[in-house]
Amino acid sequence: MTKSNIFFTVSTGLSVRNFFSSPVQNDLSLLSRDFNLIIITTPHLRHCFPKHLTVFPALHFKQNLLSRLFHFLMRVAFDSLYTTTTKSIIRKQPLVPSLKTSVTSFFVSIHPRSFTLYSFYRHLFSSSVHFLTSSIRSSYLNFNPKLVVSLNPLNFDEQLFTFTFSSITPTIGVVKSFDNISSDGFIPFLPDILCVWDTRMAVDSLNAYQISFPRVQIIGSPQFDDISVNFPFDNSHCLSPPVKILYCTNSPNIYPGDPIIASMLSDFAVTHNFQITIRLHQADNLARWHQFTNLPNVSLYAPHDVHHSPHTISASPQHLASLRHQISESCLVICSYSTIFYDSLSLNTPCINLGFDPEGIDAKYPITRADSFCHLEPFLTSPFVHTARNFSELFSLVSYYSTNSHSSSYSLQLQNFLRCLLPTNFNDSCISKLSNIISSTIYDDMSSNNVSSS
Amino acid sequence: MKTIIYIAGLYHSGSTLLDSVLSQYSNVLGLGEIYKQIIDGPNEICSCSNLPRNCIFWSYFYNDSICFPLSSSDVVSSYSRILQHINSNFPQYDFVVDSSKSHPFSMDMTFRNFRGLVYHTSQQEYRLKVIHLYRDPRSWVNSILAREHRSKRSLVGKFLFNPLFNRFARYFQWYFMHKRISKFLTIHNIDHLSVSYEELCFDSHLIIKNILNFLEFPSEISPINSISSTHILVGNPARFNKPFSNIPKYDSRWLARPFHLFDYIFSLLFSKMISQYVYPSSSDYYHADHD
Repeated sequence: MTKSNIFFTVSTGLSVRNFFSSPVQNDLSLLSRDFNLIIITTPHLRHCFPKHLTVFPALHFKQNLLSRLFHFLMRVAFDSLYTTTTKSIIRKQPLVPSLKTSVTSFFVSIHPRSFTLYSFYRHLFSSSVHFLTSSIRSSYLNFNPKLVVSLNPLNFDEQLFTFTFSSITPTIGVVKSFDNISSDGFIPFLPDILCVWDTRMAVDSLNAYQISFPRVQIIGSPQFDDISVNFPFDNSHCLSPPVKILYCTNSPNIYPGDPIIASMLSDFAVTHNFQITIRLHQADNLARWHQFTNLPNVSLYAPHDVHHSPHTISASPQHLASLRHQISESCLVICSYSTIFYDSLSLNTPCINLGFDPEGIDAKYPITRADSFCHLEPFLTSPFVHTARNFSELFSLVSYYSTNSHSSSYSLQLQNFLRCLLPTNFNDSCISKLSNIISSTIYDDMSSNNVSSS
Repeated sequence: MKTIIYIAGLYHSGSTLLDSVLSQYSNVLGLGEIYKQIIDGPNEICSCSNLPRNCIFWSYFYNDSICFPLSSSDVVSSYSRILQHINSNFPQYDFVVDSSKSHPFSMDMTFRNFRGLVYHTSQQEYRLKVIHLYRDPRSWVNSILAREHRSKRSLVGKFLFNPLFNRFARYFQWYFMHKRISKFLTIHNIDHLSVSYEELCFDSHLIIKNILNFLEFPSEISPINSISSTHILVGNPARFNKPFSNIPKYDSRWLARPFHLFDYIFSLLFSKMISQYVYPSSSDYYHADHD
C-alpha cells in the first residue's frame, strides 16, 4: 500500500527545531512511518532537516506589483478591523521604526473598519495571484497531497502555498509563537484547522477570525512538552559558589541597551564574586560584544557562525539544549521583555525583566512600551517575574537572588502558574496532539471522499 | 469533563436568580458574574455570607501573598486560574455557573465585548452550555430606568441619560444585543437554551425541568435548599436571600408604573421576538388553540 503525501511548509528555523529536530521529545518525523513527509522550505533552511525527509527548497514566491498592492490593502483592512493592545502600541511606537511601518500605520488609521472591504481586497488578491498559484499547483500536483500543514501560517509564502492547495486538500496551520496573533495575526486565507498553543491564543483567534473549536485546536507549545516531567522543585544547588547568572540579550534593534547593562553587571559581578554568562540573541551583532571577551567574571556565549543566519541558528537542536543547560546551572536569568520568561520559569529559575533604558543609548521609543504587550502581561503582572526599573533595583534583585533560594510552596505556586498558562503541555504532548490531528484530518477527508464517490 | 453553565443575556434580566436556583443542587457551583469581578473587583460580601477573604472558594485568591488579587485586566489568566482552582480543590462539582452575561454598548463586529463568553467558547477543557436569558423588554427597560433614577450623575450624565432618550435607546439595546448574542451562539455552534425571566418565575417547575434536561443533569440529584454551593461575589443583592425558595419571585414593580408611549410602540415592533423568546409557552398555547 502506498503512503499518502503530506506537505509541510517551513519558513523559520524555530519550526524546524520544534517539529523536526527537537532535542527533548519525539518529533513529527515519526509520522513518516505512515505518511511521506514532503518539506517545502526556504533555500537557506534546506540542510537543517533529517536526511530521510524529502525537502524542496522552493518557498520563495515573487509577486507582481498588483498582487503586492492588494496584499498591502488587505493588511491595512485587517489591521483596522482587528486591534489589540499590542498592535495599538506597535502602531504608534514600532519595535523597529521604518518608513514601511509608518506608511502602513497611517493607512490603517484612515481606513474604514469594514469587513466587506477586507473581503473585496481578498478577492482581488486571489485573482491577481492566479497565475502564480496555478504554476505552484502544476509543479506539485503529481504528488497528490492529502494534507498541507503550514508551520507558520503568518508567513506570506506559506500562506500562498497553503492557499494554492486549499481547494483540493485539507489544510492545517500551526501558530509558531506566543505573540503571533496578538501582535500581528494577519492570515487572510485561513487554514481549515488552526492549531494554537493556549486558551489565550484561542481567544485571540476568535476575536481575529471569528473561529472557535473545532476549527481552532489547542495543542500546547512544542518546546515545553517536557515541562511537567522535568519541573525541578529544588534549585538550591545553583546557589553554591561560584554563583552563575544568565544574561540573555535581545535583538539590538529592539533593545540597544544590552551592552551597557551587561558592562555594569560585570563590574558588579567582580565586587560580589559571581559569574555572568552572556547569551547573545541569534540576531545580535557580535561586534558590539568584543569588549566582553576577556573579562574574568564574564563568559560570552554566541551561537553565531559567519555562514549561518538567525534562522539556521535557531533551527539547531543544540540551540534550545544549550539554553536549557545554561538556565538550569544559573540561579537567575536576566532578560528584557522576552519569552525567555517561559524557559526560565519552566526550569524554576527566577527571572528579572529589564524594564528601563540605560542612559546614553540611541532608542527612538522607550522599552517600557512593552509593559502592556498582551503575550507578556501574564508574566509581568505575576509575582514570578520582577521588573527592574533602574540599576539600583536591578542590583538589589541580583543580590537577593544570588543568596536566597525560594521555598517549596513558591515552587508549587509557580508550577500552578505555568499549568494555567500551558495546561495542554501538562496533560499531553503537543507533538502527539498535532500528529493525532494530522492523522484524523487525513482519514476523515479520505472517508468523506469515499462516501461522496460511492 | 466538567460543564460550564454560562448565563448569557443582558444585565437586570434575572441572571443572579437563575444562578441561585441552579446552585441549590449539590453538584452545581454558582460563582456569579466572574467577568465583572475580574474587571471591577469583588463586592464586599459573598453570597455565602462571608467576606472574600473568608469565603471557602474565593479566599484562595485573596489570602495568599503569591496568588496576587484576582482583579486584573488580564481576563484570560484570571479565568484560567479560577477554573484551575475548581479543578484542583472542588472536584465534587460537575457544573459551574458563570452569570457574566454579555456586556453591552460595543457594536463591534468582533464580539470583543462578550469576553466571558468568548473565553468559555475558546477554552477546550470544559464543556460549555449556554442559557440565553431574556426578559420582557418593557420590564427590562423600566428596571434600567428605575436604576438610572436612583443613580447620581453629573449634569452631562443627566443630559445623556435623560429618561426619554434613555427609554428609546434601551429598547434598541435590548433588541440588538439579544440578536447579537443569538448570532454569536449560532455561528460558533454553541449548545444553548433560550429561557425568559417571566417563564422562570411563572412556570418555574417546568422551566427548571427543561433547563436540567438541557444540562443533561443526573436525575438522582435534588435541590438541597442551602447556600453552601453559591459563592456569588458580584451580582444582584437578592443573592443574600436565604434559604432560596424553590419558586422564584417575579419583580412586578414595572406594572405599577404608568406606561409610556414608547412601551406600546416597541412592544408592537418587537412583538414577534417577545412572543418567540419571552412568552414562548403562551404563544404555543395560542397556536395550539388556533390549530
